[in-house]
Amino acid sequence: MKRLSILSFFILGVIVAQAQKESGAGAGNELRFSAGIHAGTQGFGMNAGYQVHRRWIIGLAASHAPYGYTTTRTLGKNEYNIKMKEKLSNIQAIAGWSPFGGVHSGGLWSRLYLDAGVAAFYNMEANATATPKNDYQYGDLIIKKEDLGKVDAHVQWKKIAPYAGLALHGLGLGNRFVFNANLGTYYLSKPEVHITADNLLSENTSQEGTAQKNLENYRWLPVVQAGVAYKF
Amino acid sequence: MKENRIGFILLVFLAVAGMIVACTNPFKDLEISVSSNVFKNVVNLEVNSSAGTSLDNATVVVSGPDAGKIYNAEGKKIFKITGGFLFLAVDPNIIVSEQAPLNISVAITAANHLGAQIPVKITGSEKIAMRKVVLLNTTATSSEMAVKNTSVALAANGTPASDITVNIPPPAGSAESATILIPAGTQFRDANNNVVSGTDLKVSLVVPKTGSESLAEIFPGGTGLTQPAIQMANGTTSGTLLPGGMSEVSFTLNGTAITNFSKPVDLGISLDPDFVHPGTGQKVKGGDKLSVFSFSSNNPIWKHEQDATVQSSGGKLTVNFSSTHATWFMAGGVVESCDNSLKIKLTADWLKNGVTHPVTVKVYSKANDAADKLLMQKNVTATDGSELSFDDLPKAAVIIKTFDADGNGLSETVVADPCNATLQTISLAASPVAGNPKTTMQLYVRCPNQAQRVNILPTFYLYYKIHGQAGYKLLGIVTNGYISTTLLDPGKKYDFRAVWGSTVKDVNDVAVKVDNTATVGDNAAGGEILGTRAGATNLELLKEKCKEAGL
Repeated sequence: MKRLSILSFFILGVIVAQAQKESGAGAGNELRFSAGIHAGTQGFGMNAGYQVHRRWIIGLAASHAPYGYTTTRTLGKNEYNIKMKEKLSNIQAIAGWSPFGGVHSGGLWSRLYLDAGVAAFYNMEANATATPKNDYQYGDLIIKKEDLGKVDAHVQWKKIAPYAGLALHGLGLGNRFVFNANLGTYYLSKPEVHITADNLLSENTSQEGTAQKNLENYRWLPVVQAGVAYKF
Repeated sequence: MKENRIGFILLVFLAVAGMIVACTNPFKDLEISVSSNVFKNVVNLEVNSSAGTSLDNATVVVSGPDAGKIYNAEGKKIFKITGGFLFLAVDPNIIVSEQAPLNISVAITAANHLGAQIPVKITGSEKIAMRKVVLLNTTATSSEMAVKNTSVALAANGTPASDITVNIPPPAGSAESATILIPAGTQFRDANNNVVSGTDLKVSLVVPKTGSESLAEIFPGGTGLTQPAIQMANGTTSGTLLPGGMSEVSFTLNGTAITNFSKPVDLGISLDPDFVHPGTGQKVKGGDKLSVFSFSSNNPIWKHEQDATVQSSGGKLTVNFSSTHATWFMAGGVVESCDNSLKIKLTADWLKNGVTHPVTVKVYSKANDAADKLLMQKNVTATDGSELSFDDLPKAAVIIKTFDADGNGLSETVVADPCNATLQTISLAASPVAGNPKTTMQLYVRCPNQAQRVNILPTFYLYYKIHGQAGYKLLGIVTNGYISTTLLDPGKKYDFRAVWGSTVKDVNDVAVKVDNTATVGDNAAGGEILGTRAGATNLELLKEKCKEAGL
């Protein structure tokens, strides 16, 4: 975490220095700072931005996404209730460059930025628990579903992930409030799957390889989000 | 310029959408299976005939207060001996413990054999308890047992016209024999006390050698010489019966089983001269008092009948008494049982690292500082630290011996007080037949039309013998297709028999390697196997089982 902070500030520092060099001078009495909130596929959070140049913007954001999902699937011969929980919490450092002129060029397209950055996911795990939906019949015996056991799958990615995407920054809403929108993706490490199971399902840990294979392409974490910010 | 911008944005959208769509269904090919090992407590009875014949056609009836909680390997209420084994499993919804044991009675009857009524107590201390049961073949004499079947012609009124005496000579190398005298005019009655008419009386006498170790296996009651219940004059108690002589007497009249008589018949049982009287600690002699017990399959509990004085005549020691019923009779003594079970723990360096070995644990009475009568025995697939317990041992010193798969002694321990509840640790010497390198056997199964192997296999018993030889021995319990053992000699060829519930599969003439891995499936070109004897049948069986499992 500490290393990430150092890295983020280093990258931001380089970008700020480069942007100020390109601009040659500040933007006069323009409002360069912004602070806001956002919500989207990576959850909700807060962000802060600094307009270092008409084409360059840098920012820091923190997001948190507690997802939960329940479904029923037939896996093999029997039906299982599957509860999935995902916790995604990150701090993101980002820099944006406008290919169409930047904030002082006028028009909607001038607010379009190409964003790149890095995020530290201090929470990055997904858990799924499968429990039998029905009691189990074995010959003349009925075994209660509660006694059959459960299968837990724990999926984990590495904490650092790069980010790239598009953004609309600074669409005016009046009274210094602006609208921001992002469309992009994180590129995650290969997930690691660990399965535990108990009781009469205990031998299903052998499914770890299959689950790992199914999830190995889950490396793109798309981001679609919108937010408002206050400029000062 | 505007078209370029829109195209650029669409491209990014498509890329993000493509990333999402490109991901595999996370549940693809995932199969969660319920283990077929649903049972937490199992009793496996190995049922043999004293004549070595198959008892797979025997009739099995499970009764008793907890019979409703017992199922076969398939979770059904049909009980059958398969490949010499009777699998009894407790409903997994029932919690069994030392404080809340289950009690059942297993009746096994087969043609030409004395029926056996075996009380089984399930305490949960052993998840898979194994018991050996031997049914006496009443048509075959052996070195351990004399059998006599004879016919007697009765008068037209269904009674002997004169006194009838039937003698049975002793088994080879034994002094034990029996005589029965049926007085003239005796009427014969069935189980409902009705007089049976007819003239063709068949008399059957069986005399086992009471000094033989095999007695414990055939001893009526099914628990060896230790009995959970003995009916005494002052009530029922548990105890150990020490027989000096015994005989089974049975009759049929025109095909109807006779259980009792209108008059007492006279019985004489000749004793084993080496029998040590439990009261005196000395060899039995004339003038000693012994107790006479009886055991009837109609009321399967040993019952104290009377006391009798040992008669000595011509060097023979005999106990004479009268009775009005036909059944097992035993002359000897009884020793009261301990209140506690004796718990033992087996330790062995050569059984570490998951290696198992079929170990037989035998408990003997102690007389003259040596092991005397075999009271009971248990067979366990042992590993280092295996624990087992013995109920109803006598309040007297016992000797515990352990043996490997070939009967080689591994330990001998004197337990002065088997009533002491302290865990008794017994260290096993290295077995000479377990000196082979550790051999592992791993069986996989792949259903036809499925890419993945089946991830859960049933637990089954695996037996082995050297190819071409007779008599299978237990190799061990195969759990999820895996077993490791030092019983097999890599390079030699073996015949294997797998027993799971009512399914028995033989695989013969297999050369064993240190690492034996095989996959059952229909891809012969890929090295999968279906068996060499009945491949087509096995494939159908595999398909049927896979279909049942939804694969």
